[in-house]
Amino acid sequence: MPRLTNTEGMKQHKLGGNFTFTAKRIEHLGASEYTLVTIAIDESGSVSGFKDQLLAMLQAAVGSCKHSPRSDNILVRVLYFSDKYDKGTSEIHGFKPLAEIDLNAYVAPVPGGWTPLCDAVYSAIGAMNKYGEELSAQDYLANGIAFVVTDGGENASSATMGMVKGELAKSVTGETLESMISVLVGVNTQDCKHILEVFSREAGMTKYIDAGDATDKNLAKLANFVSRSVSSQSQSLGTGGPSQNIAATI
Amino acid sequence: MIGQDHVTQGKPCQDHALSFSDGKCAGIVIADGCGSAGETDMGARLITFGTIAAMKECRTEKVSDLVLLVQTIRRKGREALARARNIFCLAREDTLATCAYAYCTENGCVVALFGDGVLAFKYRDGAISMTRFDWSDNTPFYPAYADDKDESFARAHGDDDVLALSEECWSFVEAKGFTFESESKHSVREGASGITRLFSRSEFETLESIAIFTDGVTHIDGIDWKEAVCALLSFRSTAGVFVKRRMNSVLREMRKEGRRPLDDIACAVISVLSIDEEGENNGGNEGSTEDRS
Repeated sequence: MPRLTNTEGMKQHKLGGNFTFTAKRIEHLGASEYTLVTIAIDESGSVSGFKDQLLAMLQAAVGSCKHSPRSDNILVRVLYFSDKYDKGTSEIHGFKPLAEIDLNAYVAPVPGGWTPLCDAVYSAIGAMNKYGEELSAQDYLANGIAFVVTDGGENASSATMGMVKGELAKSVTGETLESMISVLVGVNTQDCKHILEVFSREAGMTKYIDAGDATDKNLAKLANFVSRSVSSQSQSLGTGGPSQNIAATI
Repeated sequence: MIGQDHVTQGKPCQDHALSFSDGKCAGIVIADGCGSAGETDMGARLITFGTIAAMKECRTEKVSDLVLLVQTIRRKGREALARARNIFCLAREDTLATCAYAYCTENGCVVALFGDGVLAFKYRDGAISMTRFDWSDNTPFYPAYADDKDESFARAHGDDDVLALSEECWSFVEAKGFTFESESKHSVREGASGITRLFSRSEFETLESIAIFTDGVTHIDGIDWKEAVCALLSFRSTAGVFVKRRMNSVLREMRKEGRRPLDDIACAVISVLSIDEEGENNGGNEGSTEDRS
């Protein structure tokens, strides 16, 4: 899976369990407050029937964020997850300003392998906690929102549920990030919806959303949901808590 | 940063700050527009831009004598303000704003204040020296009064010799806390000429940062001005918009305790690199002000 190039001004960071992520060097940031956004997309074999729709959803979601009045205060990280990768995840790009993201550089998932859901959530939340901690240490104000989009339950991670719970618990203390919203999104999950609801509850995620079947229309609605949620969370920055306006359904 | 009183009264932020640095010299300036006059948010900006322009002209003309620098910056700043008034058809009332600046070169540093506010100097050993200037009857001097040779201003206080400007100096050391250093009074004439501090090259090298504040820093509900100054100078880094981040962080913490700035606040800082640090990164200086309604 080709990664988006342009590593200018990016720095690699380490998490526990030999997970890594990249993020814009703090000294290169221009604003004084940021919403960190992570979009993690399932790349396991079962998404092969709607991989192009997933790409379109990603491009639409990030593209809409670019039009937000708060776009200068949003940093986005995108990763795909499948057990074909070391540590179950492939970072398409690390946390970077929206203005530096080329939507045309995103490529469709290349489906294969099983579903390392714990790896995806751990990488998503852990990276936001780590980067948020560094931002906070330099007087930046930051909050976070993560979307993990999957069509199946956990079956192939190296990260444990304990590691996932630890990072999610840390993310909502308000000590590094002002607030965190974590959303598990199920697509085509008629058969495993219950499993994902249990996973979400056990891990301590904010909510589970069922996006329905993987149709063009539903994934377009998902893109809109992502964009609106990011905008709400960004506007809540400085209020001391998470956005109260994240919709319960798509 | 807009003050609460301005928000509730529907007034714009009338404080402004600017800065520049080119590696060989650095300049910061703040201005505080008179709340009861005209469009002084505009006046404050004209003063900051005019002062920065004057500093840059001094750099180009290689003015090196520190005393001459103060005179030249003031003259050029006044000329720039007069030109701007003509261009934008501004009344004198629109340009009534205080002015404080610091300009550092290889030869040393000049700091000057026309009006009221706070000057603070943080030394490499961690000590902070801070001085507060207030005018009686809350009637500060504004550089714009120069168009009638300051006569109307002198009449407002009685005459030129009235001791209308008070100066209160404190120091802070972590181990000892705050220590009162001195208090003095200046005449209207002295205040109108401007309060200046000159640092030679060797004196300048003992400094970690030079900070100038508008008097809004003395009007934060429930917070002593000295504590506010120390908190605002506790930078965690000097990269990027470090002054803005620090101010946001400090005021955020204060708001959690129900405290907020009543008046607009403008702050600008020159962070001075030591010779050892110069090889690692660039020096930072920043003027920070925001109009946050």
